[in-house]
Amino acid sequence: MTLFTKKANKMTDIQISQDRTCLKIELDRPDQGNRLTYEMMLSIRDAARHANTNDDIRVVVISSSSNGFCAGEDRNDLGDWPNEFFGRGPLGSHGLPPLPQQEMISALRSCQKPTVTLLTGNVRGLGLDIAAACDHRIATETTIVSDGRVQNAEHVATGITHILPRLIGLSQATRILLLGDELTATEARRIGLIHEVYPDNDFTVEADRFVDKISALATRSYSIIKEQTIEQLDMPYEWALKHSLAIRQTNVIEDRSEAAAAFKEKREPKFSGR
Amino acid sequence: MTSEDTAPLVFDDPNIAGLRHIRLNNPNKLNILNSVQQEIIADAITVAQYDDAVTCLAFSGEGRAFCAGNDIVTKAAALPEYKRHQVDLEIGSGPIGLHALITKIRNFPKPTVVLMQGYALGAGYDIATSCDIRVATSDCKFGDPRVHRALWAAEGWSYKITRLIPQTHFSEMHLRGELLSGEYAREIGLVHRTFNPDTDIRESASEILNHLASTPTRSYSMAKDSLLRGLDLRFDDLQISTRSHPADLNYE
Repeated sequence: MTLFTKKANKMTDIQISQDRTCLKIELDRPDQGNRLTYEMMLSIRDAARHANTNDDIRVVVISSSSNGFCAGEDRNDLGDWPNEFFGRGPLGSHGLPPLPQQEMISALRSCQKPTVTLLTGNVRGLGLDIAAACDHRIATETTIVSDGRVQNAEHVATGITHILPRLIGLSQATRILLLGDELTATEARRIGLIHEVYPDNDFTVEADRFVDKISALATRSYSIIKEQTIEQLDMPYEWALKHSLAIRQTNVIEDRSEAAAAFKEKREPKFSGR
Repeated sequence: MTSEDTAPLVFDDPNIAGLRHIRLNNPNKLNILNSVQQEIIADAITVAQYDDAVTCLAFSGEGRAFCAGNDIVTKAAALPEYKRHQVDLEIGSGPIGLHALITKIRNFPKPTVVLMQGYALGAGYDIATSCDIRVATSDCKFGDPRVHRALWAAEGWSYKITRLIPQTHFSEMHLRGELLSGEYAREIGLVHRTFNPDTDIRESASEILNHLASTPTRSYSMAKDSLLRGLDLRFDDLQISTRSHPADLNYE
């Protein structure tokens, strides 16, 4: 089922569809290395928000239609400044503010459903940011991860400078963002940036298996674990304990009774995600 | 409740001076903890804190596992101290007692080390992540797979885990709910030393236990204090807070 497709320059740049419990976001701008336009960024943001409010969606997967996940944002053709940011794009020496980029990354980071990126080929700049904002990163053996913004004298202002040091430590984040190293999939996995690497030939099968496993989890439980951990990144210890209690007392997970029944009957639970 | 013979044992090591053991002693139930046992441990920690002869505290478990989690079947009644804090929802009465215990372990002003074999799950995992040093057999199963039971944990690892190891590993451990082996936990930095499961972990760990028990305690406790504070303070505030540390550490 195709939910919505965005068209820019009479060309379909991104495909968003729902396949059973999976919301698929597919970057589809291969002749431009899947570089993102404003319209694509806001489509991703809207898709992540859509997933939050739709109970049937139990995993969000971001992938690309061809080899090469995303080479960054399209510096030559970002498209028109979106209407919703009217009055927030000052004309000055600093250029336009990275509002669409930030909104996309924020929506992904706080998405209440599991998020998975399927990485292939070139993953660079804003493509790296998308991957880093998601929960799980799996890649083909030939994937290359890099940033490159500093080398191009561009602004790194999407929030990645907050996310990346926490994911892999400041030292490795410095290596990627400031030194500009290009990492093979194996090296990216070694430093913890990528969770699983699969051979290129098996990737589709392995990725499907991975996504199926994630989508069968107790989604509500998952999202609360994620929410509390990400919010507690910015809290001192004592606050974090109180925060955990508050979250605990204000959420209901319907799947709990199924888990208890399955445990009693010694079988695998079948979760609804609620 | 807790009968005498399954209460945690508290004793001084016969061979290593200054080392006090707190050993879970309910091996038939893989050392699962109830709230009375938690209280016994908390009291033992207070005693050890003010006993100058104690220079290191080691947590361990009798039998096949360090600790397989919370005793959810024979849950002891809430202790008076925590009664008013408990909200009785369908999800149970809350981990307020365990919060107090793990915070006490975390703030203990001398070296703390946990020796893990078999399993370190739930409460065992919470105790382990509150200790300074984690030692495990290479095959020890480690983690908190609560997501598979449609639960989540309010016990504090959501704060601790992203400070102990890179956040990226949070996805596999807690979102996918995978149990780690001791060996993998060492690779990602969560466990400091691993040992062959064929020998008793309490013997294999004697070198690191000896080392910790003979580390200058005052210096250790100040470094530990500022490390933990440093996680939550801004850089200049941390510097200011450490200025009040006495400069005469050599007197020991």
